[in-house]
Parts: sequence; C-alpha cells; structure tokens
Amino acid sequence: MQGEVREKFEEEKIKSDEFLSAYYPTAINPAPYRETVQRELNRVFSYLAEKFALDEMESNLGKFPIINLEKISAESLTFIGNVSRNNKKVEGYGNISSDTLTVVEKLKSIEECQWLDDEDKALLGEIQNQLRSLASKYDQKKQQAIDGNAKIGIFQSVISNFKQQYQMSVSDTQKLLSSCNENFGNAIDRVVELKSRRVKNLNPEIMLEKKDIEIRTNRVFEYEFNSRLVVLTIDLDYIRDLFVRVFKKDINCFILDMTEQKIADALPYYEGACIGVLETLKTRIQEKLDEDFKEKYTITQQGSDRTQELSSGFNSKIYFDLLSYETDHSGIYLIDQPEDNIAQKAIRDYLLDRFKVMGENRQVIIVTHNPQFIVNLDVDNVIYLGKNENSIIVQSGALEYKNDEYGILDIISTHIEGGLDTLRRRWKRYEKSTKVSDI
Amino acid sequence: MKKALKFQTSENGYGIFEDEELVFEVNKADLQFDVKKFYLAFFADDKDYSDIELQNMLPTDKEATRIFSCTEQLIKDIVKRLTEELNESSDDDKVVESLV
Repeated sequence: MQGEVREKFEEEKIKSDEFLSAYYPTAINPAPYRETVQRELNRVFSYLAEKFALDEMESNLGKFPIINLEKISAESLTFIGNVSRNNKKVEGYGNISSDTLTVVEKLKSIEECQWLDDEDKALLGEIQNQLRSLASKYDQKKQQAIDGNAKIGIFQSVISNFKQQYQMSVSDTQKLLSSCNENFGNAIDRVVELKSRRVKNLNPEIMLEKKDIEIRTNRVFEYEFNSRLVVLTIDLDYIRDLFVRVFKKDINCFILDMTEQKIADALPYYEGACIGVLETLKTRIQEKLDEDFKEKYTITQQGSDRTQELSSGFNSKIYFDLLSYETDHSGIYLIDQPEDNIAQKAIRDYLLDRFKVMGENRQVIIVTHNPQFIVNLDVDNVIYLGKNENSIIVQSGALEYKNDEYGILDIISTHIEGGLDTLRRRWKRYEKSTKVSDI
Repeated sequence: MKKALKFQTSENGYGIFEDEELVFEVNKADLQFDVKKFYLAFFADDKDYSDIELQNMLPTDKEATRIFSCTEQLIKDIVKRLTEELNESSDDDKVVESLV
C-alpha cells in the first residue's frame, strides 16, 4: 500500500485519488496568465518573422551592370517603381476582426454567469456592442484591402502586358537604356523598402511586469493542500528562460538578437522541417507553455514555503495522517503491508502512533510481516495465516492468548522475523522482562 | 552631421572611403553595382545617411565618374524617398488610393 501511495505522489496522480482530491481547492484557471505571456511572445514572433523576411530580402538585393549611358542616345520608355499586393494588411485587419469577436464570445459566457450583477450585465452588453462594431469596421477595412490588392493585380497585369508589347517593338539600344533605368529604379525601390521596413520593425521591448500566480490553499490539520500551476511567476526572466529551455544547452544569445540560421542551429533535432524555423520554434515554445500552465496539486506543511514540495516519502506520511484523522466517512480500513518502504525507526517513532489514532475511529485490519505493528499496537486480535504440506493454518487470538495447541506470542517469536526482539523490547519497556524468559 | 566621403581608386577598382577606410567598392573587372554591399555600406543598422557628401577624387576618369554619378544619384534618390516614406509611414493607403 505504501508503495502505491508513493507511486501516486511521484507520478503526480494524487488528484485522481478520490480520497485526497476532496482536500484540494478549486483549480487555478491558467488562461489569463498564459494569454499575458502569449501576447508578449506574439510580439517577439511577429518581430522575428519580419526580421527574417527582411534578412532574405537583403541577401537578394542583387547586382546590376553600370552602363556607359553616353553611348546611348535613343529615347526609351522606362518602367520603374513598383506596387505590390499588401497581403499582410489583409491578414492584420482579419486578425483584429476575428480576435475581437473571440473576446465578444468570452464576454457572452461571462454575461451568462448567474452571479453577475444586472448592472454589470448591462455594462458587458454595451462593451459587446462596441466590440462588434469594431470588428465590423475592421472587416470592412479587410475587404477594402482585398479590393485594393485585386486592383493592384489588374494594374500589374496591364503594365506587364504593355511592357511586353513595347519591348517587342523597340531597338536593342532602347532596351538597354530601359533596362538600365529599371535596374536603377528597382535598386532604389528595394533599398527604400528594406530600410523603411527595418526602421518600422522595432525591437519589441518585452513589457511583462512580474506577476506571481495565485496559489489556492486549503488547510487540513497541519497540512496545506495547494492548487497551483506548474509555473509560479511570469516575468521577463520567464520568457527568456522559455527560449533557453527549447535551445541547446550552450546557447546564451537572446532570441531577439538571433538570425534565422542561428535559431536553426540552436534548436535540437532540427533538420530543416518544411514548416520552417520560426514555426518550429513556435511549436516548441507552445509545448513548454503547455507544460508550465498545467494545473498542479501539492501538499505542504503549514507555515512552510508553499512553492516547495515535500518529498514523496513525506507525502506518504501525510496520507497516513489524513487516514488517521478521517472521521467523515464510516467503514473499516484494510491496509496491506503498511511497513513497505518505511524505515523501522519511522515506524516506531511515527507510524505506530498514527495507527493508534486510526484505531480509535474505526476498525482497522492490517496485513503485515512486521512485528512492530502486532506487538506495539495493542491489537484486539492477531490472525496468523500459515501453511503446512496439506493445508492452510489459521490461528488467532489476543496477543497473550494461549491454548493447548498454540500461543500467539509463540507464533510471533517463531514465525515473524524480529518478533522475539520486538517482544523483548516491549516487555522491557513495561518492566516485564522476567516474562520474556518464559516465552 | 555631414559625412564627407571620398571616391577614389581602390585595390580592386573604385571605392568610397570614409577616413581612409573603404566602405564601398565597385570592381573594375565587371563594373557590377552590388546593391546589397551598397545597402550595408550606407543604410544598414543605425548608419546616419541623412547628410552624405560624396567627393569625386577622379574627375578626369570617365569610367570612374560614371560610377561616382551612379552611386551619388542612388544615395540622393534613396535618401529623398526614405525621408518621405518615414515621415508619412502611417499613410501607405495612398498608393492604393491613387490607383483606384
């Protein structure tokens, strides 16, 4: 039994234990804390996505030949300047709209709560209406951006067709001049776009003020039953640590200072997944968040640090404490080998007392090979189960019971390992050492 | 603050020097203008591009002057565009609207 109790604690399955679950306070909702962290992470990921896109753009800036324009004197038509579809804008507006509607749904759930005051219900209703009109506004903006993209597409297609037709009809010299001007114009466009996007892609300062996550506590006897999350504090260090945990051990660089290649090298077992470095990083960070924002149930001793946990051996002690003080439920306890994995000294100094208290509240049946439980608990009845060649032997009686066939003390001294020594110690304590010699 | 850069010959062709230090070079062998190197030389990171003055130290060399003019014009055009772009950064709808 003791082994099973310990196993339950070690595997953190104690919540599933019907007996202990009743002592824990309600679970902590991780959503608001996780959302706070997620918001900062989204800023980091958004910065990195743009940074990597610009790094790629930078490496593809290319070259163009410097031509001697003095030798060229033909008139030409030059196609410079470019407009491109802005899909980011469409996505951005779309996100605002859908995120806002998600908040509206959340507010609806809160509004339906029976404990909410009418006045606050009305307030929530008003906020929902405002958010709905906000979502609708960004839906319209999104549609405008889609229409704009469509027009840009038509424009690009018309210009491209025109350029093709034009180039078929001009001379080689004109083509050269046109191409030179285009190269020049494209270089300007690309450098301007790269630089201005770099300027706008500000390094996101992570603004996460230290927030301690609530630990709910229920006091039972000398113990505190705690409902908490795995993570106890969220702050900048927590976010830094998240990245340290997903990277290889020797990586000390802060995420915002890393290039795409550096991140790829820092991720363990990353061999160029098709989803790309950033998505892989996001997935691994999400896994860490899943671990950290899981509910956790612990037991601490009253007055001790609630963030620290007791060892699993100590947790088992708690289990016996609770069993011994338990009076809410009727019924008997059947305990199989309580001595398992417990030191003899601990049995003597602590566990026997617990069983004495337990016995005051209910009938307790213990299956044991340990003489301490038999000799020192003043048990009402000892049932000895043995066997010979042909049958099972059942002999029982109070500790000092003796008849013509057997005596319980004889059985203990003969069949239980350490039984005689335990009896001697017991008798010595009660100054009955003379009787021991009779055994 | 005004940044005075000198355009003169370099080991491989023509280069732009800032306090004797080569910041950008065009190879004489192929006369290719490397836009990435140009970007890194003048616009990357926190480089101050607002007031660059290029001095042509090879005014009699026609080929050199052509490269000088190209580089100087690019810097001027880019600085002008960047100034406009970053001053009205919030108004990128204008491109679309002008097409509509």
